[in-house]
Amino acid sequence: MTERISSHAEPDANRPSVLSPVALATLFGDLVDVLIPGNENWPSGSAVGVHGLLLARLVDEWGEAEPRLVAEALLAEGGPLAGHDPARRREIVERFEAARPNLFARLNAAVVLAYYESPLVAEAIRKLGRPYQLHSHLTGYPSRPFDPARDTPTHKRGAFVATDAVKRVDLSGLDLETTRTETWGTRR
Amino acid sequence: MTAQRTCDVLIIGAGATGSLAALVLSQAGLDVVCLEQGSWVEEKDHPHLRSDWTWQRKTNWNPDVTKRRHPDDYPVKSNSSQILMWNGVGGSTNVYGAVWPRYRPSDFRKGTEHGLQPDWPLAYEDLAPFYEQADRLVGVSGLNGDRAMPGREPSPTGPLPPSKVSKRLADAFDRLGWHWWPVEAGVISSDYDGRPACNGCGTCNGCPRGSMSKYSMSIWPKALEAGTELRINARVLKIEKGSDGRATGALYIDRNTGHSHFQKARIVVVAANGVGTPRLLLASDNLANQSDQVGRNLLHHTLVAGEMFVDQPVDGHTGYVASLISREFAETDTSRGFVNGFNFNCVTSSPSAGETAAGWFTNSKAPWGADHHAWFERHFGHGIGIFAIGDDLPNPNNRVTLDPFLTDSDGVPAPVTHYEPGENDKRMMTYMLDRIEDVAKAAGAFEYHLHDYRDAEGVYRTPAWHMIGTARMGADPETSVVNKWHQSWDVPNLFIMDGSVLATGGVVNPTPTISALALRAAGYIRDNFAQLSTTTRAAELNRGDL
Repeated sequence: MTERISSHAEPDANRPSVLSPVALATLFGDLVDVLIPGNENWPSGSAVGVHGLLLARLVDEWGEAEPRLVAEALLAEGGPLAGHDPARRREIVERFEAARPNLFARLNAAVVLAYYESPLVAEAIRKLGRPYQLHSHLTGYPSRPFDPARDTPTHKRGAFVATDAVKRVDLSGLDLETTRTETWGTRR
Repeated sequence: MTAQRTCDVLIIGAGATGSLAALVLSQAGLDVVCLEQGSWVEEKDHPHLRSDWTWQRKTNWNPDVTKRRHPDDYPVKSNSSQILMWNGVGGSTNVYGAVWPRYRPSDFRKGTEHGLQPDWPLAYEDLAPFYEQADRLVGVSGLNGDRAMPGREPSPTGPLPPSKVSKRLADAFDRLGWHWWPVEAGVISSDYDGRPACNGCGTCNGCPRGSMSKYSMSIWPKALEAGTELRINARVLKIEKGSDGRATGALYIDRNTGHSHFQKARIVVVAANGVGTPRLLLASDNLANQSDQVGRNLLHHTLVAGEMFVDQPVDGHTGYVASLISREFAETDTSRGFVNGFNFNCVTSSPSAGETAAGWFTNSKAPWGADHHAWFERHFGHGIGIFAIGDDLPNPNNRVTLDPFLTDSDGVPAPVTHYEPGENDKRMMTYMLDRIEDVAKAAGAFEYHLHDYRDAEGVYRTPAWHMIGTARMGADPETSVVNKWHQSWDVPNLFIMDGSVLATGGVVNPTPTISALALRAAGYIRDNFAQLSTTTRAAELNRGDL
């Protein structure tokens, strides 16, 4: 189930944050950098402006108070992140994730999607040697047309039961009426 | 409220089947009016051309009607399913993936085969010519010669380019000795009927180019040219019935003006999808429901998925989203412990790097923190997705009902859906997952993940792309809603043309079959219009015809 921690109609939607706007900006910039740090090949989350996109989407999707409430959830677990070494920053975010798993999952997914929208990140992907376009619908990707001589399956497998050949099967061994499978799927 | 002229045929819903019915009936010179609660979806409305399209796929362009906020939509409550639906001209073809396989002959004979589902009142052979007709209209791509299916005419356009994913999976299926075949798609591999060939962009979530057949681009222009009057933003509130038992027309509201109108019609066709159609019938004083079957037997297919990663790059983010189909397990083999079968719909991967990293259709995703980039470099371009889609058994308690309190913005009760897999379905899904593991191992995957669409509480929350069976056709008015011509047993000039009439789900994506059925039913109305315009004896008339 989706955890919804705020709404546009929340009574305290206009309550100011305990952090200043400048501190909030720093907090979200630090947070996205813990989630997606940079290295010699990849820009960090804040370097491509992920926190700006993230904040706008938090408001658009979950309401005006959402950034403040996310910040307060992080503060409750030991934030802000500024002034701490990388290990302590990670520890705070791990505590945030453990305390608010659904909120964190939603937040992290929004961060990741925003990060990979950046043309700078797309460039980093291309440097891996993989074709990648942010607007692939405009350009498409090159492909080799189907060649009947090369690409037609050569196996002779496959059969179907024709209409007139459909016969009654014996269900007596299935015990579908009385058996109740409780462990199934991936929990089989 | 204003009354309007009496049209020959009133079609409710401008989706895939509504468009086909409009085309056939207008081309026959009939006066056709189509009411659509949504509007046109223009190229600019698609997210495909925007940098934030991955975000849009999760929000405003989400195929699940419960996850977006569109004024054209109506609320749907479900304690289980996710509900794919698009309310607009072209319907859900605005957001679908257009995988285009046909039913098998045995899909129409499950009553004979085991009796846990009904036989259809028609056979594969009755429908085959209409499959061909639909394929020509859509411009289907594919390859003839599959031994696992009856013979057919060559596809209007040839197979789509084979991808690296296709090759990798074909090799895996060969190792297993299992059937595979290039997938049929409602996507044109060469320019066709004024639409450009697929450019392999991978963003197969609707297609503003029209390379993937979006019915607002492939069918509606022809229907309009033939004379159909399409009224958009026209939400039907109720279908009315006269004292003679015939439908008289539909009350609808013009959502632009707020004014209500009554459209009189000689024949009414409901084409509002497997949730919208039972909703409208139930909201119309329980119309066409003497059998108490309206809304019951909701089918979604059994669906599980796997995602595997292989060492050699396969660039699954490029090319059409589907690659191969395997019909190895399509027929019943009771030694597996269940009846019915399933197909593998082999896909490629997400076209989006962000979706790959955030988790695409299993729980596989990049970790946050220092290891994020290493994971991405190892996995992006190396992923392959595979679905197993099977024939679920009907359960009358899996159904669409009306919420007693919640309504849409015009006061029509909201539908509520309930779906729970049965014993046979659970066994099948477990078996499917085992076979997906076989494929992953045969493909040499260094890592694979399985997904059974169950949440933390164990509730099966299928994506439910397919909402079918809720006004099923049959040969018996006691156990079905319409006869083999889609004609209501109770209301002789009322026809239902959408996924709700499917008596069984088969092991495939249903749009090709729904389209073929609509063409067949529309042809029946065209050829029998004079009689259907006046008869008050649907059931009796058609019992003798069956």
